[in-house]
Amino acid sequence: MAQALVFDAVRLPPEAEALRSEVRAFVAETLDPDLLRNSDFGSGHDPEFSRALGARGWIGMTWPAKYGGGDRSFFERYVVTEELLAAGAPVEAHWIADRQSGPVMLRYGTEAQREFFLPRIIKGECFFSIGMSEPDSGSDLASVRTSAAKVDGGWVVNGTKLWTSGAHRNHYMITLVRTEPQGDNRHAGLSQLIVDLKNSQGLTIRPIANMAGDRDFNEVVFEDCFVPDEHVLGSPGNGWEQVTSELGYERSGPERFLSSFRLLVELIRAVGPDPEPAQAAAIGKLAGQLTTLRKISISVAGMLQSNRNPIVEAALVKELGNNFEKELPELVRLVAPAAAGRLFQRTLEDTLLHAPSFSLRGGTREILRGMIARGLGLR
Amino acid sequence: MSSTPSDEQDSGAAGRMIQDTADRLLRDQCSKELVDAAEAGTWPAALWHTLVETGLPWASAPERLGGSALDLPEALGLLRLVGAHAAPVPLAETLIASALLGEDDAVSELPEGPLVPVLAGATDDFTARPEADGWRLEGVIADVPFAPVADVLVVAVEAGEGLMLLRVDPASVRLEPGRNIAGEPIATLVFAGLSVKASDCSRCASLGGAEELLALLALSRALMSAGAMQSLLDMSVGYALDRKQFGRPIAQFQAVQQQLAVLAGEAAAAIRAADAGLEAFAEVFRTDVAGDPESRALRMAMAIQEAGVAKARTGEAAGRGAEIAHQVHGAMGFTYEHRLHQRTRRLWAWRDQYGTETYWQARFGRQLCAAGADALWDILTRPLA
Repeated sequence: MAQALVFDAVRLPPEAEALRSEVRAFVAETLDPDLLRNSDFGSGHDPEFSRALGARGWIGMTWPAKYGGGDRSFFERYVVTEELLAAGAPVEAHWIADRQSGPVMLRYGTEAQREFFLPRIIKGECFFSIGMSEPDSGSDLASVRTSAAKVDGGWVVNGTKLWTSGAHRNHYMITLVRTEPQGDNRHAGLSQLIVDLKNSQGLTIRPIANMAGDRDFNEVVFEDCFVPDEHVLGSPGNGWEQVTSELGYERSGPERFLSSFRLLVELIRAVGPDPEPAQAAAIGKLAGQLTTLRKISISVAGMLQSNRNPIVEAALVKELGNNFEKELPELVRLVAPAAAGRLFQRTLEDTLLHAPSFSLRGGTREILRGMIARGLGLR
Repeated sequence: MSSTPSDEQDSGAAGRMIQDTADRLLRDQCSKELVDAAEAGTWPAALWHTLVETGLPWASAPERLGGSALDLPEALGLLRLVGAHAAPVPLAETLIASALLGEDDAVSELPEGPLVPVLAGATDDFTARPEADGWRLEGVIADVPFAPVADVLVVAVEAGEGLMLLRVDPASVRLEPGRNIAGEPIATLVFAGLSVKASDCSRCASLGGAEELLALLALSRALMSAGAMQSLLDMSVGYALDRKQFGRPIAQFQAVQQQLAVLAGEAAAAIRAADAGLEAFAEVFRTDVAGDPESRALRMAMAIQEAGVAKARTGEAAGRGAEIAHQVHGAMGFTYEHRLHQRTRRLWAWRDQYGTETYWQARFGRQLCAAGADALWDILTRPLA
């Protein structure tokens, strides 16, 4: 018989709660008040802000002190990330490096890689992209065709990565490549390479405008691009295990349900202190769904803290969270006051224009539901 | 019905033992046939008698009344089992009423039969006035769950700063009985100038007003619904693995898998939200804050908010979850013979009791608007206690 996925009650410890007011004060004094606030982790690339966070010790918070990390708990990291997102802070530059490039290096990287990259990431000076998708490989990641051939002292890479967020601005890209021809086991023969995006020959990065008008994701073309041996992440052939190990980190955090949050804030501002019944009900509905998602997400932070690998639970957070952040603008527009003002309107349009990506990035809804079904014993 | 942190370990173990006992008992007794018979109007006397023998209905009443003095919030954890097994008895009602009545030292015994709390809603035309020796009740309270099987009705009325609990013999009230969509007995109560003697009135110490009791009753439905959602998921996954079409279990079809994944999400959200409501109420019933009115008021405000979120979120999950469970079960689940509908009809009934989703969402929404846009995030992240 199926077990519902179990999400234990987890309370944030006092040291995590104590960070909350620190982050709020920092954001209040650092953020440009005229900035259009956006809770989407992928909107707002600001290296200066990332460096300021690094100076506070708020990047690489859970990593060991010997690399410059904070040795803090996942709960403390949880509070910092949710506070930054809720405030609409520009976290895009360091986000991927902090969330998954650093952790995957800690788990699988060589000592030299950790010593070189982690301190730089922690200072907010070294930003990463994820090189997984390709023109013919989206959800079916094991079908990647970008190849790396062994040569003296390194690997020669050929192929194309697609939808690579931030590749035109970031310093490195952890790139999933095929280092052996595909055999019967399609998960074998894959490796991850740390590609230097700023100083590599044979690398062309072309920004692709998205439907919201942003130039954020890219096509990255490799033509006989050389990557030295010391930039193979972990050991060659271990790529699939490494890629799937990132999923617990990648899918369970507050960025999976807070992307539209600023629109709820602006709705309340537009509605004022005395809402119509339908406005009050919509606001209470969204707020109640959000607090429930938050409790589930904190529960998964507890699993990460206990060294569990909650891949199915994380998929469920993302599935529920993406549904919520996509439904939010749909409900908000129906109850918005007639003259809600320019700020509200801009926030609504910005949210709607980005909403299609919420349930695509980091694993499509259909793939996640398939993983949950596997967790239920259906497949 | 209270504990200090140092008691927590003992009381936790006792709580788990009671949970296990109740799970076994309800699983064994709540057969399809028993629930059918109850819905057709036969009071499940044997089931209630077994519950009485284990003391479960009074788990939170003081020992002098035959109770186990379990924290009320801890005892309410039993209600997920009521939902999971579709138990057709007023366990929630009796647990809550016996705990609250037990706070009054003047109450010297409890009846063997069910106690049913009665709370007038905003749309009921009902008045309660203090008189020389007690209270006088006049008017109509509609659709009170389980009132037809009550041994004693416990009518809650607001009295100045607090809540009075009036013990009323059902025979002294005109009952217009009926059944809800789940076949649970309900009744509209007509009070024709009924006088309740002061000796049958107790001041409720732990709840300060009608809204607090409403939140507690709403939380009971959230917990029952969370248990029923778990049951829907178990039954639907089991059915999908068993049922074969096109030569294979329907669990192998992606269309079915995707729907069951959505059901799992709704079940998980319902369970987490309901348990969070319970955790918030546990903070109210801690003895170490009983003497601090300000702290208690903050905790109670949080408990009402969390119970309201729990009620609304489980109500949303009930609608979506029942829809998917029936779709997966196909025509089989639409038959009277199948037990699926004993869960889905209860989910539909419970989401309408003690405040619908809209009621609790609008209440929360008004609070958030009154606090203003820039206070929203602070309210949503406020920790318990």
